[in-house]
Amino acid sequence: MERQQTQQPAVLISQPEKRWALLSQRACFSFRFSCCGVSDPNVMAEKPVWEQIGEGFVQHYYQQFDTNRQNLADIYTDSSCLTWEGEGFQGKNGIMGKINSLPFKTIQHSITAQDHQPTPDSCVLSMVVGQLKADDDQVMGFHQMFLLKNIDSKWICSNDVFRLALHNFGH
Amino acid sequence: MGDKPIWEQIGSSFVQHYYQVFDTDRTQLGSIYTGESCLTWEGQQFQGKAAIVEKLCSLPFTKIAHSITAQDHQPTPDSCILSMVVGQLKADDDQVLGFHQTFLLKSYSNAWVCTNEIFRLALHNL
Repeated sequence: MERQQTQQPAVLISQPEKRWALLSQRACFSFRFSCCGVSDPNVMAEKPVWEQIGEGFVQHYYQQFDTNRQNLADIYTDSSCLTWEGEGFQGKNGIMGKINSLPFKTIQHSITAQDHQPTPDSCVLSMVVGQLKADDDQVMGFHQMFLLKNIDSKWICSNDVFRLALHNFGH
Repeated sequence: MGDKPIWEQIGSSFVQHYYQVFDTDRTQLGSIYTGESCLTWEGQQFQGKAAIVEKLCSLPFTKIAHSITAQDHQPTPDSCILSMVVGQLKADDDQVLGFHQTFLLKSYSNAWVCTNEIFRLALHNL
C-alpha cells in the first residue's frame, strides 16, 4: 500500500481507511478555499475533518489516560516524542515507561478548551487546556499539545508535550 | 555534547523574538507568517498573514507584557519545530492572567516561518 499523503485524490476511494486519510487533505484544501470565499458544500455543514480527528483523538486519549493508561501505547510509534514537564522521552517504549510510572493511583482530566488545526504537512495540531486532579491532590491547570500524523491509514501521535500550569508567583 | 539541540535553539530564538516584538510593536510580527499560516486565537480562526496581523493589531490593549514560565521544543517527523509556551501576561492595568501558546515552525527558503499558532488564556470554569 502506497503512502500518498500529499497527493490529491483523483478517484472516489471506497475503502474507509484510505478515505479517512484522504479526507483530511481535501479538508485542508477546503479550509483554504473557504477562507477565500469558495465553499466546499461537503464540509460546510459539518466540522472540518481535522477537528473531527483532533477531537476524536483527544477524547480517546484522556479517557484512556484516566481509566487505564497502559492502553495508550497504540497511539505512539518508535519515532514519537514526548516532553513531560520538561523531560524528553522518545519512542513508544520510552514514552509508555514514563506514563506508566507516573506516581498516582487515580487521575481525572477535565478539558476547558481544545483547538485543532491542519498543518502544511497534512498533520493535525491539537492544543488542550484543562484541569486535572491526581489522587487527593489539589486541582491543577495543565496544558498539552499533540501533533497527529497519518501513517498507514492510522492516526498516531508523533509529538506530545505536557506541562502543568504552575507559575512562579512573586512578580 | 553541551550544546542545545538545534530545534531548541531555533524554537527558543523564535519564542524570544515573538514575545519581544509582541510586547513592543506587534505590527512588526507580519514577517513570521505566510499566506498559508493559521492562527486560532481564543477559539477564533484566522488564515494568512494579513488576517493574522490584523487580528493581533486589533487586540484592545495599549500595553502588554508576557512572562514565560516554561517553553518546550520538539522536532517533528516533517522537519518542523513544535514549540509550546506556558506563561503569564498583563495587559494594560488588568490582572495577571495565565496563557498557553503553541507554534509550529517550518523552514521556507532558509527562513523559519510560523505555519500554525494557537493561543488560549488559562481561564477555567471553576
